[in-house]
Amino acid sequence: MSDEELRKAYQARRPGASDGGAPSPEELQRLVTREGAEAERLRTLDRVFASKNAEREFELLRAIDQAERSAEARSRWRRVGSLALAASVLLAVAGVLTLRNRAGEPTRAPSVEGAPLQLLPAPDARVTGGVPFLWRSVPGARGYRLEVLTDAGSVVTSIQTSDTTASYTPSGASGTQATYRWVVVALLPEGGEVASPPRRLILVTP
Amino acid sequence: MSPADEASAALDALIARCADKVRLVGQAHRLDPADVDEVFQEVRIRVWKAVGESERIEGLPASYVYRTAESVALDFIRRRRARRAGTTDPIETIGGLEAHELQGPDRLAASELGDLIERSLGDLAENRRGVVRMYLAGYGTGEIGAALGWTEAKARNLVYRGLADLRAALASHGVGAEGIR
Repeated sequence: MSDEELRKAYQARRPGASDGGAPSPEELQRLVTREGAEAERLRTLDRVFASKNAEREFELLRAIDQAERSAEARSRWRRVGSLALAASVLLAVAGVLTLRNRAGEPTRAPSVEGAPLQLLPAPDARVTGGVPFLWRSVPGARGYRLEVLTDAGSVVTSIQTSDTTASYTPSGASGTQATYRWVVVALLPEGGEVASPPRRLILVTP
Repeated sequence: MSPADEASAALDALIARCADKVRLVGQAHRLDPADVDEVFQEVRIRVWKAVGESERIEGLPASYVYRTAESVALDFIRRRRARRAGTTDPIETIGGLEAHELQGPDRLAASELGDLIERSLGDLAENRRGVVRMYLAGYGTGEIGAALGWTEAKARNLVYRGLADLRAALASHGVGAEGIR
C-alpha cells in the first residue's frame, strides 16, 4: 500500500468518541514553540494528531508561530542587508581613499603612533617650483617642524610652524631635478617629538 | 482623515498583513480561515486598546501583532473547548476527508481501513507514533522536522521507520499490500 493510500485512509477514519485525550492549550503551545523535553513533545504530537479538533487547534497556533518566525527572519535579513550595505559603503570609501592615495592624497595611517599624517605631496610626487606641504594635526602638539632632506640624509631646509602647512622652493640651476625626502615632526608639550616616516619627493628647479 | 481614522486604517492594514501571512502558512493543512478571522478580530481590539494612536501603530512591529495573536488564539481554543464540552460535532465537520472526495463504498472502505490504521498505530512505539500521524495527516517531512526542531533528513528517516512499523502492524491485522484481505 502506497504512502498516499495510507494517508487517504487515515484521513477518512471515523472520529474518536471524544477529545478527552487532546493536549491542553498550554501543551499545544509548548509543542509549537518547541519548549520542553523532546520526549514530552513527541507524546503531545501523538495526542494532537489522534484528535482532529486538536489538529485544527495545533494548525492555528503553528501558522501564527510560523508567520511570526518568517517575519522575524525577514527583519533579520533586512538588518543583515543594512549591515552589508554599510560594509559595502565602507569598502567603497576605502576603495576611493586608496584610489585617491594613488592619485596623490595620502591617507595611510602614520607608521609611528601619534606622528603627523602626511597629506601632500603624494609619495614620489614630481613637483616643479614651490612645493606646498600639508599634514594632519596631532592633538596637543604645540607646533611642527617640516624637514626636507637630500637622498643622503642632509637637511636642505627645516621650517618650524604652528600650522599644518608649509612651502619650500628649491634653488639652483633651472631644470635641475633631484630626489628628496620629507618628514614632519610634531613638537609635543613636554618637549618630546614624534616624526612621521620619510616620504620621497622629486623636485625640479623652475 | 482624522487622526483616529488614520490610526484605524494603519491598524487594519497591519492586522490584514499578518492575518494573510497566517492564512498562507496554514492553507495546506487544517487551518480554518474562519478561525483566523475570529482570532484577528480579537487581536485588532486588543491592539487598539493598547496603542490606539496612529504614530504608535505605525511604529508597531509585526512581532507584537503575532504575539498578541498567540495569546488570543490560546483563549480562543479554551473558549471553543468549553463550548464543545457536552456537544457532538457532525462527522462531516470533523472528518479529514471531505465527502466529495470519496463517496459510497469507497468512503466506507477507506474509513474501515482508516480505523485499522488507527488501531495499528497503537502498536507503534510512543515516540514514533506522533511523527507517523503527522505524516499521515498530510504534512511533509520538512514540516515535521521544523515542528520538532529536527533536520529534514532526521524527520524523513523517522517517518519511514515509523511507516515500516505501521505496515508490519497492519499486516498483523490482516492488511497487506493490496488493502484489507
